[in-house]
Amino acid sequence: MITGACLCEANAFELDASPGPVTACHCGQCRRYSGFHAASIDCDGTSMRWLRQGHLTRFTHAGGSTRVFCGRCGTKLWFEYADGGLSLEAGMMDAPTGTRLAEHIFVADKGDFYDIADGVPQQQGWDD
Amino acid sequence: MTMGRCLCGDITFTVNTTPTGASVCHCGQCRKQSGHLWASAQAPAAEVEIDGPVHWYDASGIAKRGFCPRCGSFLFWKAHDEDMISLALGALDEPTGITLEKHIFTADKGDYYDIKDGLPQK
Repeated sequence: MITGACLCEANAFELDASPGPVTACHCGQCRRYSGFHAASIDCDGTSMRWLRQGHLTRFTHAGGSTRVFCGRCGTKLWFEYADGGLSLEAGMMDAPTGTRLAEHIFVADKGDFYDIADGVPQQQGWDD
Repeated sequence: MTMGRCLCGDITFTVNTTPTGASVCHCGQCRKQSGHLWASAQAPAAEVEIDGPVHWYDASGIAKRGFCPRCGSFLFWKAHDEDMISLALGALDEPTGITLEKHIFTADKGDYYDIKDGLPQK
């Protein structure tokens, strides 16, 4: 069982199955949003339960994808793809998470203030 | 001059000096609020002009964290008793002229990634 909560505890979840791999995104939108770069886990909504939700705030991009965060504490909760798929933000998972960072994507757009040196596979865009 | 903005553009900021001490914070609060890790550099608050409706959240009693209430971008961290403010590096317009110098609060890092870039860890 994986658990997690936002900073102010208004949102909390449980995940039955082991989560899938973590993907780090270096696109310009994820960098502005996170402050560095994003990391999230594509997630089957049926395997997770929200124990409580509050202050949910949604920001939808022109392309239809949506970022959801807690409007009180700012914790990043999940990303919704335009086709409805979900990706859970990695930062709010409690340890042990039972998962690993497995891929960097959109590295062609990465910020100029850091290098990626962890040996994890890199994709220039979404899927090279 | 260094300039930055949030994802939706409601909040912009200008720094009249080059921010210093670029670091990645691995504390649990920054990991939740960023969604993974938070990278920032510091500048004197008096040298930073912020325009827009920043939502401040005090998670610890010692500092406040600023984000955009519309798009959620995590932009600022400021200790109540310090004159410096930390600015999100991801929010800066490029070229930033800034290079990461260190990792902090690595004792609290997440268990799903490794730090292998050779920078000092505290």
